[in-house]
Amino acid sequence: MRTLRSEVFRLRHRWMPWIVLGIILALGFGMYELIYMTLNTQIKLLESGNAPANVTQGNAEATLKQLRDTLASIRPSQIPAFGISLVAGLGSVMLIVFTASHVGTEFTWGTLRTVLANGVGRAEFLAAKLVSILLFALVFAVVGIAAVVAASFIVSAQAGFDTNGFDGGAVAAASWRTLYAFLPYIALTTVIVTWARSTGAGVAAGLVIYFAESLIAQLLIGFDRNFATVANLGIARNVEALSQAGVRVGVNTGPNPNAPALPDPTQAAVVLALWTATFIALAYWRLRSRDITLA
Amino acid sequence: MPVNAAEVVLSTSGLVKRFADLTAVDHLDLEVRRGEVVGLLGPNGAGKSTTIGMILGLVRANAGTAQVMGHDVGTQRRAALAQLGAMLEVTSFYPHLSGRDNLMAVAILRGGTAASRVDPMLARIGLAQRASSKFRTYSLGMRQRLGIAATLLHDPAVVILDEPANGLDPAGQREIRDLIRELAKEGRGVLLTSHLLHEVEQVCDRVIVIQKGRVVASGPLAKITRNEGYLIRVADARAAANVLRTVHDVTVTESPDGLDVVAAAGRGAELNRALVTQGIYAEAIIPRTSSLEDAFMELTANEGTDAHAS
Repeated sequence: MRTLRSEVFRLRHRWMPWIVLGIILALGFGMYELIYMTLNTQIKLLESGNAPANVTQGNAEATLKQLRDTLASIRPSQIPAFGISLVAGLGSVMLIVFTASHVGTEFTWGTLRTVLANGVGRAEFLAAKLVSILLFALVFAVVGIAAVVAASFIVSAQAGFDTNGFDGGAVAAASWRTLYAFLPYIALTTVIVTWARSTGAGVAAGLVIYFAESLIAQLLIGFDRNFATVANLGIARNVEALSQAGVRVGVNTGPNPNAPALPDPTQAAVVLALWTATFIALAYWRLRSRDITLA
Repeated sequence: MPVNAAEVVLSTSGLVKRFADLTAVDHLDLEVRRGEVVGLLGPNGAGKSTTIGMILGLVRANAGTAQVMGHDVGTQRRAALAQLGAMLEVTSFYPHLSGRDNLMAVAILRGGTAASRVDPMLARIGLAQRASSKFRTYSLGMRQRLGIAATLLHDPAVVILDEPANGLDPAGQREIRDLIRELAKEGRGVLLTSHLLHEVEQVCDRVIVIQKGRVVASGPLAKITRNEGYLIRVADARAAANVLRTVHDVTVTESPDGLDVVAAAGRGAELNRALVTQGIYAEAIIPRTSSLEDAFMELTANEGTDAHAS
């Protein structure tokens, strides 16, 4: 507990967590406003008959309907499907960077020696790091979701949309699933940093795995649908399954009927928990077996 | 001060550390008693830092044990380290935190009354004026001072100081020497490593010299620094030399400073008596001992396996 308190004390005095929170706050609002302004401009152009050259008279109506449907995703009723997925996507990337920095700087600054020389055990150190990151992820999710909820109401009012239909329960459930989906990426980054003793390695490898796994899974399934069985054992497809569970999707965010089914949400939660536990066990094993040299 | 086993506050027994084919520490035994300052000396790569690492549980020993106040570091690490404060050669703190906040972070880790000792400790080591400055703006000397403050924050019974005077100016070095003596007077056991051998000579009660991970000499300073005879100043040097050459097991050489007399330690009175008997009165009989530096160079120039002083 003392180690965790010390972690939180030091975290509060760093700029990075505050900057990360500022970014998600700004992006939460910014993305809603940007989507509204961009789509609204295009809709007005089409409505006034000044369609772009590539939009023929025949498909103008279809394009207009598609734009209106997309714009409708900013409504409060669509927060679990759109706003929270925005926080989830940005959050995974930002928490990979944050985790790499939070754990990696202990190695690069040599402060791991200082902490351990003051009687802290390796398991205690790792647990305090992970819990402090989890606490930050919770704050991050709360701030991010509060930002998208506020932005949704404000921009919907600007657009003249009906602001009814906000489902607090659905938002809370989606938020918990988002937070849960952060866990494997936090644990993955921790194990990379513990292994490489480098913040840079954690950021680079964490982000490459985050983006590449999802891409590789799509390519494999595109090549042969049977590969979905393999892809469903990874992280990306299970995160996707969890984030789509229980979400009332909008017109344009519905699943592709030809795509192979995502894993069952319960199965997804179990697979993600297993990945998280494996990464943490590997990180602990590496930390435990390593001598912390003094020079 | 009487010495008994109960007063041993830090000990290692048969400590061994191997890195692949290299044996960095080879069956190292050492003891530090309450109120005693022990110097751990050795050339670079001798195994000093590895030994400290094993005492702190940062480096895993292949064999042997380390105990702090009777607590085994391997099996009761938390209890052992609760009684131990260590300042490592490279002081590592959080660069974005001020000196005070860095100490506070350590105090939270330590618990107890450590937090209430942050400001008094900053004053004691002369950092009160810069307590609010970020650690990254500190000079090397200030970093060393902060390291010492963090070491003493929880009022430990045993203190390990690894090169504490690194980067300090002469006044700062003197302050550190005074502080080390003060710590010993307060009843703490101090294990000190330093490359400043004159500093070691001034503060240590005992020294342990290690080479390639093995103890090549240990004991009180007087035992480590060898007696090299006497310098005798006398008006009639030639007559005195003739008298002294009649004394058993003595070699005399005349030099511009006086007579260089090679004789075993403790024979000063005998030499004086021989001169007085012949009506020659010496102006001074000065014992000559090798400096710790000379002894250290000699001990570490080779394996020195036959140099155990105690």
